[in-house]
Amino acid sequence: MKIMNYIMLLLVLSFFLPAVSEAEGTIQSKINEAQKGAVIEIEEGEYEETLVITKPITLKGKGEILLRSCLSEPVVTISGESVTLKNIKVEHCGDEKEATAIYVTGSNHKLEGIAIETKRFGIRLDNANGVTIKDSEIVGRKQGNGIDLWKSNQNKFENLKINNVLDGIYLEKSDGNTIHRNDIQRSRYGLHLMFSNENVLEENASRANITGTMLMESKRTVVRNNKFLSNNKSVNAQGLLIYLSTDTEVTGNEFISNRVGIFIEEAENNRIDTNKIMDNFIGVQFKKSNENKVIRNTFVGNVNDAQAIESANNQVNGNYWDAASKIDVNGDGKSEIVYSADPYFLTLTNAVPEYQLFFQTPGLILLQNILKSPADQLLTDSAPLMNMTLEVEKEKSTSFSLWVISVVMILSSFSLFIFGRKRR
Amino acid sequence: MKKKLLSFIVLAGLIMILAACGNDKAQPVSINEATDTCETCNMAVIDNQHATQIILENGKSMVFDDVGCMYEWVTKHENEKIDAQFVRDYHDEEWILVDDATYVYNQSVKTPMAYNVISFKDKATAEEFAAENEGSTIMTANDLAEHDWKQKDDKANHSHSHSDDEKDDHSHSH
Repeated sequence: MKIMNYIMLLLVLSFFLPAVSEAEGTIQSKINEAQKGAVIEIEEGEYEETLVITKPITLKGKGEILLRSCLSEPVVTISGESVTLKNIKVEHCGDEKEATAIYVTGSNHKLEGIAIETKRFGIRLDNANGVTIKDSEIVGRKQGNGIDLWKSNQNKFENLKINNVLDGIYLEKSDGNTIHRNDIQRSRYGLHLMFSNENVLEENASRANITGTMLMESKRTVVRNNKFLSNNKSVNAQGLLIYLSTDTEVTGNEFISNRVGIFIEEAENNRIDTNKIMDNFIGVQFKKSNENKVIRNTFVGNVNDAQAIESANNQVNGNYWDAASKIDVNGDGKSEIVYSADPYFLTLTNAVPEYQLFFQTPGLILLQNILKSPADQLLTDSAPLMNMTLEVEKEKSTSFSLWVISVVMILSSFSLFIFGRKRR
Repeated sequence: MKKKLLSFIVLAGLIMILAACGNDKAQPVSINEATDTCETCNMAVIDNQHATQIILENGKSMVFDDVGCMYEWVTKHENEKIDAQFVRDYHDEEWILVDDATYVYNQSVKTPMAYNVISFKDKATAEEFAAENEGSTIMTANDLAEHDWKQKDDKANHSHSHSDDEKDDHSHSH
């Protein structure tokens, strides 16, 4: 009897299978039949299918749509002009090196309300221009970039949530793109620019990545009002890394709880202006970098505010340093005492990283005071500010919970004394 | 004449083998993706065919994400004493000594830092790759030492100058 049931079930299932595979073909065939400018609505359901769109049409999901494929080609391939993709979930389950959920080339496409799950790459833009991607989500397996640009200019990325990928948004040889209000977490690098110029990064949040944002050999990048938070889980972690890049403008950002807030190496003519640099292990770190400006920033609660190696000619002026001793004699809001950061410790640990174990040991501080680094190696703020340039809200909750824990522990230990005795 | 040459080669070979036995040859260290960063460019080093490394005489090993980054380091640190330099085979990722490898330079091959040079353990596979991919140049380690290590794309210029040429460079790249 049981076997009969089983067979019946199989038979019923086999009825459905061809129906599914028939449905598979339908989206692509609808696309093939569609005229330019047509709007194709996809009915709710799961589709095991790869799509190729080459003409200006709109593909719109009605309800929950899942497009899924484990083949080596992308689930959706877009080329030509003005293709719109809306409200679709895309899953790429293939594990080949170059596996990509959505591949985009051509111009002026729009992707909106897309949710992507991928083992490798999320969206790849290859020679794609004027593309807008917004209100979407990408989740990966740390084996490919969330969004990957190659020679793609003037694109816009807005309100994207990217999680657990290699690089959140990766730009190579791509200029004039706008990256606005995105949230990138638990990935290798949040935003990664290589050989890419005139890009604008605005109001993004990059947290718990190895590096919040990496600017490499890129020019005239604008980094404005972003948040770089808790990029501190790796020994190489940092909020923002500027390497061999020039004319970067970094303003109004928050760098909080990173290993290094901003790391600048072999970079010139960059401007770090009015940022909040708080609770980092090292606030700002220079290496072989000259002619940069660090002005009007607020440094609070960093273990080391700033360090510089072979970087003598930077303009560091008018910042607020909570660690500095400050006296304002003439009432101009600037302290008369010069504040300087000594690179001694960093030079030492650079040669032998293990010396970091001796960090802030009395012996090392003594050594640093005896063997002062030459004056031209110091990072010096000649006019530190008396007041912060930005408001800093110090968290009270941690000290409050500390009090609660202490009181509870004291009470419980007393109770041990009291009740322990009474029972005997 | 031929016999003399042959015996000379055999002898030279023997001496070299003996010499090799005497020394502790530097061994390549495996890449740890979680913590290794390129000594030159700071990027995380992925454990793939592009990774390279240098072992110094004091035993310190340094890894690079691109063979170009390694050569950048070598030119900038002429006084460091290098024990061995390794690259990897493009196909099976085996570590090979820099001098034993054959290289292919091809501008359409993507490498992590866009130096566009890849390495092969034997010449035949390198030639095979070059034949299959247009615009390839086969190189030896000696050629690499002479190679102009610039990321060749118009936008990828390495110059530090902020002179007019930079603007020009930008305008004709569009």
